[in-house]
Amino acid sequence: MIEAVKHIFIAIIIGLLQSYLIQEVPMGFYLKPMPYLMLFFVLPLNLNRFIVLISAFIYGTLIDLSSGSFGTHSAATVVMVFVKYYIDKALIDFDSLKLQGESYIGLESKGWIFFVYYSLSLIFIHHFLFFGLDFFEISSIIRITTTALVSTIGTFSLVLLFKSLFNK
Amino acid sequence: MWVIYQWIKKNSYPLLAFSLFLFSFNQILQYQIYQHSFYFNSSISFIRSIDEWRSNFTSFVNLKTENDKLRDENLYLRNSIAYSDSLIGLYDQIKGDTTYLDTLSSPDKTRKISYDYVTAKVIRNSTNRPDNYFYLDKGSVHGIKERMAVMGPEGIVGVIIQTTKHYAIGMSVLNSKFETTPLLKRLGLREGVLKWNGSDSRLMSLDEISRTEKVKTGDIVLTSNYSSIFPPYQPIGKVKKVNNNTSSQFLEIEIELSTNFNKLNTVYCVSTRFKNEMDSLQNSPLISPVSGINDKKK
Repeated sequence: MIEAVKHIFIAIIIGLLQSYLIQEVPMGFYLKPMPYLMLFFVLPLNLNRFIVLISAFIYGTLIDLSSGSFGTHSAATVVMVFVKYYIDKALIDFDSLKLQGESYIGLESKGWIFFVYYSLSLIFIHHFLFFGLDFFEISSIIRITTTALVSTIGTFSLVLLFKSLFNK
Repeated sequence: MWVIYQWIKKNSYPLLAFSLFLFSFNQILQYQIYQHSFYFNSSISFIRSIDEWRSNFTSFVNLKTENDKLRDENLYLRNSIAYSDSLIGLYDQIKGDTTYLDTLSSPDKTRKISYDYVTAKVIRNSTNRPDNYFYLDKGSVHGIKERMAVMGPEGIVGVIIQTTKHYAIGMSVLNSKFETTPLLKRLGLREGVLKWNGSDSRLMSLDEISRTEKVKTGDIVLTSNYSSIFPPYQPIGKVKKVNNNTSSQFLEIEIELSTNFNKLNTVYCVSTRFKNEMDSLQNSPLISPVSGINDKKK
């Protein structure tokens, strides 16, 4: 219960930060960080996949509403969470962790190096789709890829920053 | 049904993700101006290309029906013209104006001799013999008679020489027995004899034209009003070559036919309504055979 309240609190804080601070600050042509994705890296991995998927959709839609980008955040977040489920399933042995008596299975159990690769790739998938849907042009593929790469690094840095803040 | 339910249950997670993605994507297309216009323009051009493809396909499939319709319509129009011409002739007769027959001699005046048209299809045709004939899919029951002129869409084709109830045989202009006097449009000249020399299905020769006549390459050759079979001023072809370096007093003229006999399909059989009158004049014992009325079977 405390965990659930904590996650809702994190979601609200990061959502507000994303909508009213990070989005409003001009950070250059290619840099558009989206640290709200951190929520999906702190949620327990053994949480029901349908709840995660629907909450990703709702959360993305709320960010869309606040930023005026109808559907772009929600579509990219839904795809990221969908892919994340299959990556989790392939890389994490839930059964053995349950047998070990773990009720909360987090990413920390796999170590920091795993977290870096894991979150960077998921953030890139999200950003690539987000900018793809935003530019909506095959001819802008280089610009989409560049923006997605630069923003991935920006988002990842902010995710690390917020994660360390919330862990304290 | 159970299988479908099981399949949905098994794939509920991807299905839910896909539905949510589609919902979001729909929002993008609906509410974002650029994406909406891109989607709108792309879908319109896609629908147009599909429509175009469908229309082309339907046109192709219906080509035969359309062709038949056009042929019938052509026939109707030709008969309408003939009918209106005959009415003008009748009106002149009532008025006591008997000059309607004379109007044939001038292309500028209204043509008042009327013609009956019957459309037919060529079912057999030859072009490589010295005497070529063609067979039509219509006969006497359809109104085809002997000595009717046969015209194609591009020009003259030949003359009907024999009919049965449902078929007819025609003598092609590509026949050594065929002769006619044409009209050279530019010079207004009704002279000479048009014959087939038996070598090329696109070429005929025009003989007996005096060397003093200034016939040029490209001159249009039409049927003349001296013919009792062919309606006047129908296309025959054009002058392809003129040779005046001969020792004789006549020019050697080569005519390129407008009708391609190798692609002959639909033809019109034409008869003049006053043909019997003209034939009776032609056969009158008081006069010797008239040189101008040709198209005779030797």
